[in-house]
Amino acid sequence: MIDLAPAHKIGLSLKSPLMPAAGFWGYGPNRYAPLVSAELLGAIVTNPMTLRPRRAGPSAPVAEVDGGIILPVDLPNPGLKKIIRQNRKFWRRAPIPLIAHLPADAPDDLARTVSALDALAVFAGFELGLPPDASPADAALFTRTLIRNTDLPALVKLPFPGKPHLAEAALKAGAVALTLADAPPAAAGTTAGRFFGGGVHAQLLPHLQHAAETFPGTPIIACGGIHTPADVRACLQAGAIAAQLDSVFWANPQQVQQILRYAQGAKSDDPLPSP
Amino acid sequence: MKPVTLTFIEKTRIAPAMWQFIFVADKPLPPFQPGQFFLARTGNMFSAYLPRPLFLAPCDEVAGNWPVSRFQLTLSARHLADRGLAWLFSCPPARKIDAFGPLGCGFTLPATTKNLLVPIDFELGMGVFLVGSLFTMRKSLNVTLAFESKNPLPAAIVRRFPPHVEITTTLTTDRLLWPDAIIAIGGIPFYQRLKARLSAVRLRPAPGLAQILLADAPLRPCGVGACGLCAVPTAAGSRLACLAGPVFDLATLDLEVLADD
Ligand code: FES
Repeated sequence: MIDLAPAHKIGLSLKSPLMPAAGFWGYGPNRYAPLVSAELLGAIVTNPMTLRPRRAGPSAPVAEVDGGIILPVDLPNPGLKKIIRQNRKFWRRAPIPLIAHLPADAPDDLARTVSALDALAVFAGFELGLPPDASPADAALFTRTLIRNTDLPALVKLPFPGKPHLAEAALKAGAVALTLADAPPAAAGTTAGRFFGGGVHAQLLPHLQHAAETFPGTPIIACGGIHTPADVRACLQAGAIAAQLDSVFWANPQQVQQILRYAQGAKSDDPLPSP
Repeated sequence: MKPVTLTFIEKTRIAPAMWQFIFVADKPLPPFQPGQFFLARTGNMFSAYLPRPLFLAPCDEVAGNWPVSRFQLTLSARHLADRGLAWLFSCPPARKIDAFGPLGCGFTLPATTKNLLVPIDFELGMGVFLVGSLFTMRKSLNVTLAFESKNPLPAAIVRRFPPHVEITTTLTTDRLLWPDAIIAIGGIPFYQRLKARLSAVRLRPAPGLAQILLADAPLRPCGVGACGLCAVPTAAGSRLACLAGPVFDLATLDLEVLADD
C-alpha cells in the first residue's frame, strides 16, 4: 500500500501508485472499459468540478506538435449540482478511492463545493488545482479554504513546473501532498493552451527531484507525459511516490493498461522492475 | 467498445477527389450503426497523432450480413489537410492499424419508416457509402439520395446503389415534404441550409424527423466521454459529441453557435 497522506489523521492509502490525472478519466464510471481495467488504478482523480457550470470556449483546433498536442483548457464542466446528480450512485459503490479535483475558484464557491462533496462521504481526498498565475498568498488562501471545509487530506497540484514557493505556501497552509505538475502553457499557430504529451516527461523529472529534496517527507505525485512503464519508474526514482497518467489515455489507451499491469505490485520504496 | 486491428487492403479513386479505402478487421464485428465511429491510431512511433475517428461502413457485398469483417471508408481530398488522415492516405497495403470502437451514437431508422430522404454533401466524401447499410436490405423502403455537389456526380457512384434507390442532385420542396425520415451528412453550413429549407415547407417538423452526422465535430482528444472537451450546444443543454453524438436531431442542435465556433 502507498499512503499519500501519512501524516494526516485519516490518511489516503492506495493499492497502486497510479491514477488518472484530472481531466482524463471523467467523474467516475470507466469510459475506457474494456481497454483499461479500473481496478488496476490506485485511485480515480475526477475531472475538475466547480460550483457553477463552465462551458468550453469556441473550439480552437487541437494543435499537434512534436512530442504532443496543444489544447485550450477552459476546465469545462457541467457544474456541481449536475455532476453530483449524474455520478452519486457510482461514487457510493466505487471500487477504488476517489479524489475530487477542484480548480481554484472564488473562495466562497470553492468552500461551498468542498462542503457539498465532503457531505456525500464518498471521497477519500481532495486535489486542489492552482492556476498558472497563482501567488503564494493565493496558494495559501485556496488551500486554507479547502481544509477548513473538510477533514479529508488535501493534495495540491502545482502549475508547471511545480513552483517551490507555491508548494511551500500550500504545505504551510495544510496541504499534505503535492502533485507536480499541471500541463505547461504553450501556443502554436492559432491555438493557445496547455501542452500535453510524452514530451513533457523529460522536462518534469529535474523538478520532481528538486521538490523531493526541498520537501523531504512530503509525498510527491508525478504528473506529466508519463507514457511508458519506464517513465513511471523514472518518476519514482526521482522521488515521487505515485504518478498520474494523462495524455497517454488519449494517445493510446491500450498502453495505459500495460503501464497499470506493469506497476502492479510496485511499492513506493521499491523501484519498479525494468520494463 | 472493443479493440480491433484493421488491415488496410486498398484504396481506389472513386471520383476526381475522392477515395474509397477498404479495411479488414482481425475479427468479424457485431452490428453497429452508421455514424458510430472507431478511433484509429495513425502515424508511426515517431509521429503518433491523436487517434482519428473513422466512420466505417460494411463493404457493399457484405452489407446486412453481420458480423462483418470487411469495411469501407470514403475520404475526400479535403481530408488530406488532416495529418492523421494524410498518414492514412499514404499507408501501404497490409498496414495494420490499431483501433477501438464502435463509439458514440449513430443513425437509427425506425421500423415504420417508409420514405427516407438522404441529403449528402458529396464533396465531404465520407457520407457517400456510409448509410447504405440502413436501406440496401430494406427493399420496401422508398429511398432518395440527394447529393449536393459542385460537379456532376460520377456515373460509377450512381451505379453502386441498388435500383430501388432514387438518386438526385436537387432538393425540391416536394422532396422535403415527402419523407418520414431524413438522415443527412454534411458540414454545418449544409445543415443550416437544410434546416432553413425544411422549416420553410414544414412549419413544425416532427422531433427526430431529421438526423444529422456532425462530421466535423472534434471527437477528440479522448473520444470516449472522459475529457468533456467535445461538448456541443443542444436545446437540452450541452452534450458530448463523442457520447451523445456524433449523430444528433437536426431540430435540437444549436447550429448558429456551432457555426460561430
Ligand atoms: S472527446 Fe473527450 S469527451 Fe468527447
